[in-house]
Amino acid sequence: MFIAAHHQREVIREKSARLFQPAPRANDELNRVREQLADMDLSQAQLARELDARLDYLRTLQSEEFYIAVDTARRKLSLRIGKDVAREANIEIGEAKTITGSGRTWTFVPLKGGFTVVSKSSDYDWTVPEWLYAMNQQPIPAQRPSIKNGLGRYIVVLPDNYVIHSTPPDTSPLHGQPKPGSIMVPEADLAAIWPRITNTTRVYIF
Amino acid sequence: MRRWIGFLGSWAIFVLALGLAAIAAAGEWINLRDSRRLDRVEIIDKMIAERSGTKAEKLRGVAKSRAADLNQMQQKVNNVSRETDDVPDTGQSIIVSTSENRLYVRRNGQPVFDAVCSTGKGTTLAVDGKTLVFDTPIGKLHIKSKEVDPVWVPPDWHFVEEARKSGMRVVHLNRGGAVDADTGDPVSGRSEGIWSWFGGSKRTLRVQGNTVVEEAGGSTRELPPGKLIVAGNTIVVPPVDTAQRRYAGVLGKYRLELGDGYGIHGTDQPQQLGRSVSHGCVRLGDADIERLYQIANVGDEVIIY
Repeated sequence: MFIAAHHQREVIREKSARLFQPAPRANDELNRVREQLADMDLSQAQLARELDARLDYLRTLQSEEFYIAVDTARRKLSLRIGKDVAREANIEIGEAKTITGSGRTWTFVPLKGGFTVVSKSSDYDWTVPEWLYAMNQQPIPAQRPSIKNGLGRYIVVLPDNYVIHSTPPDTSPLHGQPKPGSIMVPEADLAAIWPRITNTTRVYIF
Repeated sequence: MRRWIGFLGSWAIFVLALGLAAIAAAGEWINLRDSRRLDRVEIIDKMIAERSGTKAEKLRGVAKSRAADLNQMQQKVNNVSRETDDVPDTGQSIIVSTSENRLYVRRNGQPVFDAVCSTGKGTTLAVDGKTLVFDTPIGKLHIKSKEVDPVWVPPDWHFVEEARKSGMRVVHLNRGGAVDADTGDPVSGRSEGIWSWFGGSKRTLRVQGNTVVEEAGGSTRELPPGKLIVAGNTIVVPPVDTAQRRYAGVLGKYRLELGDGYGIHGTDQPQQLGRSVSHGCVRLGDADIERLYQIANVGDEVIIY
């Protein structure tokens, strides 16, 4: 048993030496991506998706365009240009939730990957969504009220209606909390980067 | 006694065997985990190679159909790379938030200075068929040079803007030409010799050497430097190389040049700080521009967002 394990260890050592030998002019960022992905226990399809998002992100590092990076582990959102950080803000991430009510189910899972901004709004009217009543175990009214800036004064819409939003006002049923699965940024920080967000801005959430 | 020894011995052997089995199982688990990790690395490498291959294939296609364009693009990339390589990495960045009108300095990622500033007002002005936008340039720039006691040589738009504010018109005073100092109308020919007798007390503006002078009744007076020249309902634009086109003190005591006519400098209007009022430059108060001048290096990155 020990001899077999020892033999297997030797095979792993050889394979490691081959796979991790220092390549000439090795790209540090690419190596980091490789290491990160290797540590994730993902299926091949998931690996492919994660790899594509990260390669896209690496390409952005070479560009001179502004983009948004969200580090969910450090809970930071930053406006970047190339490798430089123009602005960094603390964020709150709405927890993953599955809400059921009125015979319907809403699932909110924090988003990860590379996306392009779909739209942005400020000073808007927000109709309280049905899931919010279901979440608060309240009956859904026939006429749902409209609240000024219900998700905060600034919202950046990502695909599948995920949003990066500023702090909701006290008049909102979210009471200053992030929307489930979404990202909440202090209003002053989102206001500061607001002019740089367009519908071509890339957002990387990792 | 012997039975006890036998009993304890059996237990000891059992515990030892259990321990060895646990070690073997742990080793096997570690081997399995590492083996799976290496398998994933192989898959990742294969995917990276595939993606690189696809990219290369696309590039080859582009190269075939648009070889000339590609060469031109490559040349541009090389030039940009060379320019970028020439800029030394100082480890210090100056960050300007245009929406907040604030300037920050970060050294190795740590904030070391911040100040209230003024940035571009974003208005437009049509000059000679072109529309100028008074915005602070957004993106990444570098400090190209540092200057003490900078002198402002206003571009033509400054005179156009001043004239529009008060419903006046603009006339260019060229070398060899003359402008009526009372009406702002160009004066044709020069009243010399006997003709100057008929000129009477008519005042005209001319360029003499590197200065603008006013002539009247045979006497000549030099106009003050760096002051707007008004002739009746007309603002007179002096040539670029004259003293009247050089405004001292307007840019404060220090200036950091960013290229294309933009810079970070002081101001003679400190009451406007914190507002978007400039024509694109970044303005700071006296104490702040002095401090920034001291800590900023040529080559520092300036990120404006």
